[in-house]
Amino acid sequence: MEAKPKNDDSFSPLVEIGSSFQNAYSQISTGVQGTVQLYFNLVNTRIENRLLSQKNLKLKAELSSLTELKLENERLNQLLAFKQKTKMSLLPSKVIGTDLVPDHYTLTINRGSDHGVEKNMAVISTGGVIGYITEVFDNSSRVLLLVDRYAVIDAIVQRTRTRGLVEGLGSNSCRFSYIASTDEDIVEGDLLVTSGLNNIFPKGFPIGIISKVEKNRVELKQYFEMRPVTNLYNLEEIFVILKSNSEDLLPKIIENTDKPKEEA
Amino acid sequence: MKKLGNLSLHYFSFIALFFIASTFSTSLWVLFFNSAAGPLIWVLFLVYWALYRRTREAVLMLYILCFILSEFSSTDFQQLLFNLHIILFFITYFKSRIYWDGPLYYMLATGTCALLFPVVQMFTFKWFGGGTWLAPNFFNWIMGTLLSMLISLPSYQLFRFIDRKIRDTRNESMEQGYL
Repeated sequence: MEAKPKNDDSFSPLVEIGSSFQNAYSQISTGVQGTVQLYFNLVNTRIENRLLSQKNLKLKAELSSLTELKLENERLNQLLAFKQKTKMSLLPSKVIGTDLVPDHYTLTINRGSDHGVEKNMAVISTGGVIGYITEVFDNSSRVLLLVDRYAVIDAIVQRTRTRGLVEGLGSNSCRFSYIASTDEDIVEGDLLVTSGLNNIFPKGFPIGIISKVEKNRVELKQYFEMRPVTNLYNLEEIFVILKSNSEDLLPKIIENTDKPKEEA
Repeated sequence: MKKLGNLSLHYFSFIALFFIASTFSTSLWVLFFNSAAGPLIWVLFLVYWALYRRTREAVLMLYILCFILSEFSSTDFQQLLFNLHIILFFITYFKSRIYWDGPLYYMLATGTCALLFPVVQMFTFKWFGGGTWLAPNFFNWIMGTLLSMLISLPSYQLFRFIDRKIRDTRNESMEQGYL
């Protein structure tokens, strides 16, 4: 059977118009479909974004917690290493409070007479001197910081071995005073260390660095200000020295000397 | 008997509140704000009792505050007692000259005493032992005063609440502003 031939010439304009309309409808339909698809994609993206943000926050919190644990681990390792390499008898303590009255610089720690703490025992951190015990209770003690106005610590300049007293000036500074000679060679940047007198502090333990030098040649006076090596306002774990056991941390000065004279 | 019970409870409430505020100030405040100056808690209590109580009751509270305060500070007890007596004397004189009822007056009185306390401490410390003479840290001084004034407003409401609940009969006298 043969297909019935179409009379193409008579119906072609209609077909043209019809196909144009079909084309237009098709394009509109495609556009609408695209828009709807875009809308659904955006909604899904928004939901996904919110979920990812929540997950991100959770991960950030976990990371922060892990970082904190890592820092604490490093700190505790440092404390352990410090405790192990020294012959001093140390009692680790935690700071639980500070002084209530302004311009008084003391700390309360969670160790007391029940733990072997006594008055005037030295308190240190791994970096340097913090102060000493002034009051002892059963399960807590009060530590007088070296920057307090009533604090006095015997010290020497590590470089020149000049002896003097470190007295607190409040906030974050101390004064180095009662030096025997008025023309001592002490400059900014010199390190002050404990003298080890009375065996309370170990000998040679860092106290602070000279931050200001004023020399009055007319009155033959010198004034030295010192900045503590330890950050006294950011302490977490500290040590009470139960026994210094004559620990000597002072580096020995190597001198070129002639043969010693024989005694008569 | 009930009146005595109420009186004891009233005193105990303020003492307990002061104790809790002091522990917060020495522990939690430092945890959040490090070495930043805090409000002068004892000034809030002392000023309130000086303004709204009889003088003998204010003196009694002063002694109690001193005992508790000396447990939270290395300050010499005698020095603390002396300084607070000066503050009490000042606030009593201040009240006899200028007075109006309300929290703003309380805030003004608290601010003045918070400003005065370190100055008094600076001048009297030499009479109570050695140590280095130091001027108060200016920034901490101003911050402590401002914070004390800020906290005085909610403190006033709290103290009044305690007074209303436990010592109702005091209300009239307090509104008159003079006992």
